[in-house]
Amino acid sequence: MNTIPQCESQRDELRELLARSQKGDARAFESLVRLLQPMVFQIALGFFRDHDDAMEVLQDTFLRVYRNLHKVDHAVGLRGWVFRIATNIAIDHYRARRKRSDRERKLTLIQNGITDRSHNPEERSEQAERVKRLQAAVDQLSTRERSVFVLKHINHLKMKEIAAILDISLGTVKSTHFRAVNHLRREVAAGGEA
Amino acid sequence: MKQNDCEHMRREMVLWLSGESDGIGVVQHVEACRGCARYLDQLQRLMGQIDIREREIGSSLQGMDWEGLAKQVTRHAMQPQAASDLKRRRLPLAAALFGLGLLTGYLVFSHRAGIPAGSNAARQLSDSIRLVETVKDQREIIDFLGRARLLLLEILHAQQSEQERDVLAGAAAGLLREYRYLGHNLTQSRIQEARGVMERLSWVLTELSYDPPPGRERVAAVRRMVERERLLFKVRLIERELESPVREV
Repeated sequence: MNTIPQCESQRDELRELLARSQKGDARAFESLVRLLQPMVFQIALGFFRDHDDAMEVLQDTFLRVYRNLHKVDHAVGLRGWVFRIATNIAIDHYRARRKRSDRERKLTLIQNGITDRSHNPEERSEQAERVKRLQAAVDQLSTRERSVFVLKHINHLKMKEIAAILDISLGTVKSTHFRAVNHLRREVAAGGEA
Repeated sequence: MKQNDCEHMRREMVLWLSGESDGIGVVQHVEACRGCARYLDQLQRLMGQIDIREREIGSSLQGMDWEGLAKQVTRHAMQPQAASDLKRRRLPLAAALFGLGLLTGYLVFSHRAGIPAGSNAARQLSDSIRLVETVKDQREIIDFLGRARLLLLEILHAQQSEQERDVLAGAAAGLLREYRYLGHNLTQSRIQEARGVMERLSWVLTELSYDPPPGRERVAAVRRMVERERLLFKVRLIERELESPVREV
């Protein structure tokens, strides 16, 4: 299991909550959720702009955490383990959502004859437009590049921690991160000049 | 300036701006290399935009009801749902087929043997028929909710042209007719548990479909309500709930 640094008191608290949750104590599990949910939600919001999608990731993450609690034997790597589950679930949802939204959009266009609005910049403010451009560029990243980018720039994890969570080497994290940032730089710069 | 130096320095810049390196040599290199100076400038702009996005996420986290959410998430995680999603989707269909099989078998059997009404076999048959009806209702409601979700998506993304408003009104009127028909069977289904959400959905459909056709303000008011009530998310939750097996007949 991977380790994400925590302070001693936090680790003790997690250890106690974990032990009680494993015995079926609902209140302890709720406290565990309360402690860990902001970071899970942050990961989810790095993948999705929409709160509803992020909420689904949050719920599914803790559903999986709960079902697999018996597999955790100590609290040291708990945070990293939850990070990893959340990232995997966010990737799964992201893939499924991409397929679904393509399908839904096509279906709606066919049914209702609505024109595609994705290229209608007049009504948007400049800043919103820039962030939107960034988001569009982030959408083009591969799932691994996206995961590294979100964990680095939204969750502010160290590259070592990201390597542990994604189970890849530090060198791979660095090169993936460089590719991701380079791609975003190119896209954002091209948009700015257009 | 060697190409390799620039490549190395650009990697160093990315690490530096991401807080992973102290950027030794970057400043000196950039002072002597125009291409890399431009690269660094673009990177700094990108990081500024990432900061804006990160602040957006941070501010949306501040307004969250973490207590309530923890309770909701815990309830969701601890509810006894052993079946996988796939199984959950298959079970209603399997139950319907099983019921149909029983019904067909019974009709053939009773026709041959002349079983009187009120016997155990007749009661089992009536239970099976009710199960089939409930599963059928459930499928209809799931289909309806799927289409309602598409409409909600359109409401949230509409740019408010007159043509779009007309399309929304037409779609809402169609769904409202279906909703009234569904209402007849609602008491037999677990949709009762989500009556509040269905009532809000009905309000949305009514608001959009009554005459005269909705104007900009009416659509904006509907959109605000959909966002405030997180209706899209709640409709999805009901759909999920309905996709799980029938608990009682």
